[in-house]
Amino acid sequence: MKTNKRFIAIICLLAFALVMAPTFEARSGGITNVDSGCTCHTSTSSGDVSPFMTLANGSALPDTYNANEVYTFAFGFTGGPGDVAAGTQDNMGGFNLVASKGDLASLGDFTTMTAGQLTHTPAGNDQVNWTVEWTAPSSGSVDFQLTVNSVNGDGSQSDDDHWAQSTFSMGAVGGSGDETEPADGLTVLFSALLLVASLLIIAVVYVFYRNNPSAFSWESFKPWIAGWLTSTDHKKVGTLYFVAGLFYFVVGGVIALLMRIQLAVPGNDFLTQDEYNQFFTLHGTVMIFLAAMPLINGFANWIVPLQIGARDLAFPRINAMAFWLNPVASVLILTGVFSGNAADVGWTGYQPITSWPGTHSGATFWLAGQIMLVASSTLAGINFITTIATMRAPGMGWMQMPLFTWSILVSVMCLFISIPAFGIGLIEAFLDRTISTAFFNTSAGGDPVLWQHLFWYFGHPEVYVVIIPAFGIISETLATSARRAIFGYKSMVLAMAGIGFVSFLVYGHHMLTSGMSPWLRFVMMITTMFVAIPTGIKIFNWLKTMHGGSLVYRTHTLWSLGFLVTFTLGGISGMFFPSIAMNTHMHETYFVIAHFHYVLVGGVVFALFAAIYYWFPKMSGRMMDERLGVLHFLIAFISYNGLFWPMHKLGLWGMTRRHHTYFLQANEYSDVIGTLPAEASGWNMFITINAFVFGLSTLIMVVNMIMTLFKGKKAPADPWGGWSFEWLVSSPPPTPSFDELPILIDVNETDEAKPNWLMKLMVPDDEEVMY
Amino acid sequence: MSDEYVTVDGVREIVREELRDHGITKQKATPAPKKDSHDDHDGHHHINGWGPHDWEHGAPHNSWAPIIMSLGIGVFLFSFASTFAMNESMNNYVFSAGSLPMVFVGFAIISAGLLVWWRQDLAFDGHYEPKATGVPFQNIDIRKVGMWVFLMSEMMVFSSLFSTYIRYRLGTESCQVILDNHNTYSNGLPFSPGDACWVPASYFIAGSHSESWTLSLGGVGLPDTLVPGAINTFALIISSFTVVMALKTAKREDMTSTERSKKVRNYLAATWVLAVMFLVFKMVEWFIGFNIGPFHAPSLMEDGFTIHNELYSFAGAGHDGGHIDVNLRLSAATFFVATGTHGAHVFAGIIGLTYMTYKAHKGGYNPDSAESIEYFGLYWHFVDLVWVLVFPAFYLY
Amino acid sequence: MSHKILGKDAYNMNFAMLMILTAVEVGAVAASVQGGIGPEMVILVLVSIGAIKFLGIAFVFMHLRMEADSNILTLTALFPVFFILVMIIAIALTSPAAPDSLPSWCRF
Repeated sequence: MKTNKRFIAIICLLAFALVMAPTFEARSGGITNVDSGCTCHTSTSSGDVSPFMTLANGSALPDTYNANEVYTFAFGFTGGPGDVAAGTQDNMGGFNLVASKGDLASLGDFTTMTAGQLTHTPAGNDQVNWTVEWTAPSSGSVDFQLTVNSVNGDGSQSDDDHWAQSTFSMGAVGGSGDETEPADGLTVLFSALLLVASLLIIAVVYVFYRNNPSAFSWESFKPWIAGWLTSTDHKKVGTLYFVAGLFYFVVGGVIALLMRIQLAVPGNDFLTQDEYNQFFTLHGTVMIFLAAMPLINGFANWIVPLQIGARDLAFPRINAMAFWLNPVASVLILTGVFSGNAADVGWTGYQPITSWPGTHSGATFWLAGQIMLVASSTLAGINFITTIATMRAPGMGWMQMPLFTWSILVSVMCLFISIPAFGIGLIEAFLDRTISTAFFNTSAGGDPVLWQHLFWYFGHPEVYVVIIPAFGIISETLATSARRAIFGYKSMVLAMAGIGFVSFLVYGHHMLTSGMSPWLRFVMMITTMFVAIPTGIKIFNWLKTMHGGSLVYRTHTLWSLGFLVTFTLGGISGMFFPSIAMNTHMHETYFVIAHFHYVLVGGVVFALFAAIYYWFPKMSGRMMDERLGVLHFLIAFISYNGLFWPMHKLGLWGMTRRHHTYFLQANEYSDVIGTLPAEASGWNMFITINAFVFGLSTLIMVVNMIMTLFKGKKAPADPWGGWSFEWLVSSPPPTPSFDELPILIDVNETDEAKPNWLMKLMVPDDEEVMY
Repeated sequence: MSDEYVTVDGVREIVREELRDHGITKQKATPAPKKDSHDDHDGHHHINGWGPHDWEHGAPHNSWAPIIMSLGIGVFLFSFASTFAMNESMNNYVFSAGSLPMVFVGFAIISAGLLVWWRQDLAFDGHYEPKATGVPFQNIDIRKVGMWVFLMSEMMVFSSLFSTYIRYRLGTESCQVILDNHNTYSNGLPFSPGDACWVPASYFIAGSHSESWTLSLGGVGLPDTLVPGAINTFALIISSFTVVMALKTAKREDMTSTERSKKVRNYLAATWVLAVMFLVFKMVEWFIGFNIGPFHAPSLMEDGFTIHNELYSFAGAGHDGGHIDVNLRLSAATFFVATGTHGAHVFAGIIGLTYMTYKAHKGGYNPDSAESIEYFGLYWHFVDLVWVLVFPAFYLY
Repeated sequence: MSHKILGKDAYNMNFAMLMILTAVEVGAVAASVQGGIGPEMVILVLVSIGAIKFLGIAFVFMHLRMEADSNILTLTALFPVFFILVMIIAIALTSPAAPDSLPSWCRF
């Protein structure tokens, strides 16, 4: 028992240390650096003293400075007991001035340099304003921290003396801003991340404790945790994917909320421009590569072998390898986020900025992390394609495969074939940034559009990689809820395969304004419009499935219905983009943001929620609370639409993406380019509020999941009345999942094994393969 | 059956009966090992992820190799990016020696993971070799299908590199054309020194620019600079041959196992030597150059064909005394990264061959487990195949 | 398992063919740089010999012919061809300046 207490104490201490750590690093120097010239008189800070700092000629401090130029500043204060006519009293004031960059030099007798800081001399005590000379550095933004004392002249310390402190900033002309100090937003993110990580550790320990309270010791914890770290079992690896995916879902969400706070009001300064650049980069990367894909992989790991009646994936160890590359890659991708040096190039990593030394050093590590994710996806792709192609249970032909497995096959195919292009592009960019090759260096003849080609050759299939599994999930949940087989199974399969196929022919619609070949632009415009056909087929098949069945309203049904609405809306707004003219107009506006969040959140995330409510009983063996589920759906669906629908309007008004702030028109007649109508402010606030509601509503699901794990009622093997193989085994499935491999026989079809051209190419059953 | 309800178990019974009637129950293609092997899933021989693995019980259930190798790759990439960083003017890199040891630490960690992986595999004797069921790969080893799927990805990797090469080759004005047009682009704009244009690697390797022509015979000759590349081409083809011979030998039933093991080992070792030779000649060609007897050729680096050379004095084929100062960084980067990626594949093959030679030395390959050599061979032949395309495209053209 | 080409072991025959063809390739380049044959001829030789070598390696060494599973694995290997073509057409041949150096029938 004593060991246990020590164990818990150590964990708590670690968690506490983790949460506290950022505060030590992120605080700037603060007032303690200020020496006796200022705070000696008093400890009271007073609002009636206002420090000021201007150029020597009295004009305001410019926003930017010229590198290495020498400036003369006038500074001082107004207000407080010292603000009286000159000569009325001695000892009117004092100050301390610290510049974060550049060199301060004393001018005249009133000021002196002490330990790199400028303060007043005894003679300077009789002044309320002073001058200083400052030599600008070569790059980076600079902060002047000015602390002033307004004293009443009696020469003693008392609370009648007042002090105040202000910071004045200037940015470099064309400055890279590469050495921005950690500021509030970063601290918030840092703390949030570490808080989640600590909670994760505590949760892991708690889960272990719950498993067997009597064996709560290091001796039994070690093999348990080693089992998780080394496991190659598809169910365990799937769970690991989930934990990682949900963790980064929260991280990406927190980043999004920070950006929404920044955009809530016009001209906000909650985040600096520099931080905002990093945050939208990381939001995109984290959400696509570290949240959506691991969550999909989690379901694929769990469900695909069960659905096709296989004992495990084809290459279990490679499967574990594909997973473990993920967390390591995520560390590389997030490198620099705590020191303000994270990648700031957008999730698309467009060139030539990504190969430009002015971007943060984090961009190099971001590229390295992405290279690891490419390796991970390739390994996972080998595994899933091989598994689905070779390990289906006897009797399960291609056209008997459940639609979710089909969707995973198509999506993995897309990913597998397209991702090498991305990998090569990343390696080229990575070498550009490290050993300085010249692939995307325009002065050496490099072509930035090549990067866009390589990226979007992968990037567009990638979009379908995350949405096609969503199609599969919805096909499963809707058919089960409607208590009938899916309408038009074959057309569903063909539509999915068609979408996957077409995805390679349409990628240029992301580059219509990039100046690529006009011929290719035209082709891509036409092919993009074709995407609507298979997608439309799927929507109508789902509608017809519900029409012909009798719908049971479970939580996963609600999410599926929500998916149908939002995904269709997202699809419709997507139909504006193939047209080159419309695309040119709406490129890089919030209309684009609205469109792809409608398909990625309303499509992928809603489907993932449906899948969680649908398969959680199978995975955990416990039924989730339906009331909390419905509550989650209602809150999330409403706030989701409140969050993303107004963005269409903002986009048409001209609000641009990837800009850290926006400004309003002074009046309806002003036409300053880039300003928005006055209503935009209200809508942005509305969006931010909805973003918080939507983000917090996810907590309902998390709480539901945790409560279910401990208190939920036991789930039967087939709680919803599904009829694919995963419902044959108990909940949770045993290991191995199948005592004997299941056999599928389709009672509705006659013998389907008619010889066709493909069969003539295959190895016949009665012939052993010759080697 | 349509007008009465049956339980799920009832349906399964009916299905089983029907299948028995159709004779489908013989599951010769079942990938599973003996059923009882899985019962001790949490048993002691599986929880040990360090190997060697007991293959009687099917595929590995636990392995430390994935997490160790992932960490190693992370450390390697992180420290590589810390060691080299492009400079402000984007024409060279800043080298931080302090992080360099970590690059090797990363390598060491990857190697450690790889050793764990191999230690588990060493016991594999071909007893557990699941076969595919169903259309279209029925009766083929699952590992073989997996290898071909992996090769699909490799095809796309080299297609991407070739796309980069073709795009730049066709989209960048050739220096020769500019020189021939008297320092003018074909669109009429003047060329100024330091501008980018295309100098193919073959200009240095197989062009008349080359200084030394030892192997010439009556007006037809081979520039010395092409010798390493040409030898490498033959080396790869021979190594492809030795690897199929290793496979063929490992399958021979008409030898004693000692004799067979020895021959297999020798064939694999020969492959290993040829692969190492390939990389050595590559280094000679890139960085070292050679001066052996009548043969002498500067390396590409000495010739000025480097990724950082912004002012290369290009004289063209004519040797008429005229020259232009060109930026050939793009040509060099494309050449070195494309052929370097191929070299990295050869390097990966060497690592695999090291393990396989050791295993062959230990007598690990017999007619049952010879397929492992075939699957490695597929990869190795693919690398050879890529060279068949890389060599003419980058060295000769 | 011992397949034959012209009565000899397939691996040996293929190996001999590859060695000879490579020698011809190198010889053709050697001839061209000293003005023996024109550049068009060299490209023709390189492309055609490259294709033959490619097929020799794929069919014999990689067992895409003469095995029970050759047909279906050939089909597998051909699967990416379509995507490679898309990549070559869309990425490799669409550089703004690329069409200048191409014959008119394959300009984009």
